[in-house]
Amino acid sequence: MTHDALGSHLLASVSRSFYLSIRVLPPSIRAPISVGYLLARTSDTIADSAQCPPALRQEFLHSFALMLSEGHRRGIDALQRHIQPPDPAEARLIAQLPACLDWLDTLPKTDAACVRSVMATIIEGQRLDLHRFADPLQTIALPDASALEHYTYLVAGCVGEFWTQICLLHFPSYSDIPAHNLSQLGRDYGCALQLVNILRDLPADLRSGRCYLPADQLLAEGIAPSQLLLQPHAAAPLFNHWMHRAAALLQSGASYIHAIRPARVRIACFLPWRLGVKTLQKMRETPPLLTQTKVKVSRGEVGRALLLSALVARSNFWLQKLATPLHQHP
Amino acid sequence: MWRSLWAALTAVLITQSLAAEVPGGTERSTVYWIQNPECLADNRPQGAAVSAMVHQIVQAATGQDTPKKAWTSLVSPKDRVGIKVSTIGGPGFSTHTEVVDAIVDGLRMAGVPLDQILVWDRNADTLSAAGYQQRRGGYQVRSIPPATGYDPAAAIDTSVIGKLIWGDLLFPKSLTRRLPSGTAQTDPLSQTSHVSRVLSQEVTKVINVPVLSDSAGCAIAGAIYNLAIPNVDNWRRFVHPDGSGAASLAELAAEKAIRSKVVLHLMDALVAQYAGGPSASPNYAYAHSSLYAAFDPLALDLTALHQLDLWRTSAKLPPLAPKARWMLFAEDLGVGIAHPNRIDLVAIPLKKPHHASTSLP
Repeated sequence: MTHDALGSHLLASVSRSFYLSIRVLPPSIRAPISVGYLLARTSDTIADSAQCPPALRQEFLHSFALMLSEGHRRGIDALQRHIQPPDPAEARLIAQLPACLDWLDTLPKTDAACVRSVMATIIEGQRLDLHRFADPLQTIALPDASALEHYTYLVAGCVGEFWTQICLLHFPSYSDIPAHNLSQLGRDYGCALQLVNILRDLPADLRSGRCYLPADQLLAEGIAPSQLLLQPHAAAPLFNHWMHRAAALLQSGASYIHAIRPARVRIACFLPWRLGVKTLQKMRETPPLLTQTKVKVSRGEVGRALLLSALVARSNFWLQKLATPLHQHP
Repeated sequence: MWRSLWAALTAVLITQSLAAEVPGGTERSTVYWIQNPECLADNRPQGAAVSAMVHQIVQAATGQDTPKKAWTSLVSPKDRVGIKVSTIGGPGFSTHTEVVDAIVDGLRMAGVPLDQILVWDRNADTLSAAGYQQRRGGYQVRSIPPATGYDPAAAIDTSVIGKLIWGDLLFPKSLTRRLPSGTAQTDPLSQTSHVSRVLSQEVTKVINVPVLSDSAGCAIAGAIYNLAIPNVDNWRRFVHPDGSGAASLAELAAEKAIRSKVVLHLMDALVAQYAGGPSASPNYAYAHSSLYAAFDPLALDLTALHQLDLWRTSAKLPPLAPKARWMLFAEDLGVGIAHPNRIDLVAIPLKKPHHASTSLP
């Protein structure tokens, strides 16, 4: 498969909404961001391959990390033999892993180094998660708030830093604010999107024995992680606390978009931000623990986000207007 | 039959030896890169963050598990260590003193006494303006005095000819006198440069600390430029803006007298400049918050050059790469690797915070 095909057909099949963001990016950064996404999605597929024993998935994640850091292809056949996702798009992703690694090798050196570095962090987070929730028969909760913050950083906050790093490497006038402040906003923005996903997927994760709400906070509310699905109202204060946290982090996302210049990158950053805000609003109206249906942003809402992105591309006025609800309530 | 077998065997051996020398060979170089956005605050380097970056990248480059072991692997207490800084950009765009301070700390960890550590560049004024001044009990600061600062015994001939001016060792003494009006004067020309006495006589090991800058004459004023150009007289011919002397820069860089004492190239890219260099040009300066390190100056410069061209493309400036063809010649002369597919860039991960920074509402 050519790099163009990887960056279009394969990416579109596995990424849905993120593909919209990638399509509008300036060509010079599209390749590193696309490769980064495909590789992160590959490691995610490995980590989530339920048909493969957790210990084996750990090994494959480890060998995948070595393929990336050392540039070899050892272990790729075994990985492709054992990781066979039922989803056809993900199956194609695993089949195209050698092509994705080849694409990585063709990137500018600094871009490739950034991709390798962020992948090391993401895989660390996925391995930690796999280790933590190794027993699917038990409902295990993260120990405390810092464990949850740490996890969101490892699998998503680092992506905000990566995004910033890549953009700064390509656009010297990317932003007027200092790089470290921008990187911090990017990190918080990444964490925000992950936290929104965690809160949205809370019921499904609980059913597979994963509780991302901290055990010590649940204990303070008098709830055992295994009882969370049965006592959703009791967990409401804690759920709202993390909704507030997600809203505050999304506010950093708005500040991030506010601070950057290239119109196309602003659009690319705005789309997930808008969908995150909308998901948060939907969760406020219908808390995931109180409903059987998955909270999902409608196609119409995605369309509206695309239209709004044209306004936000060159105007902070519209961005501020759209971000105002975050100040008022989560 | 034996004769033909012998001829075939000889042909195979010759082919193999040539294959080892062509640019598509198998040798590789590694460049290390560390970036920390927190190392600059209001565009001023933060000493602690910069120091941590320096030690971390030197550890990575040397493959050692502690800073002390890393520095000890490069120098010994008996060495007289020269730190070649770049100060041509004056106070606005020179090797940062914070980077040099961290290197000095590292050298001291390795047992090198302060009076055996020497920071130098060609010009005393730019050194001083960049913050390098001799302090009592501190490291030595040295410039290269015009004419007398060059070693007559360390002469290097290259193919390009240069016009000598006052300050070059071979500049005729007769021309230093004022000539009577109407006297015809022939430009003194020479193909010879002389290495500075600091490099040829005073130091036993060198840590080369260039900045990340472009150069109109040779595309990049990086590791090779910083080591070679300010350390020789009759140097203007190598960096003529039309690029005519750049090939001879490769010859200069290949000279043992220039490169044999260097133990590490550590590029200060806290602030980079992608146009108007190597003099300071704030319009094109960019807070890159990075350090690069390598044992191969050519691989380091090529990596840095690609980065400069990324920024230049974004700023709609012409790429520098066409002016960097001399790098291929430099590879032929054994200076290092100039082929991107045989250079590995390793990003050194920073220790990350364990939680996001925004406080809870």
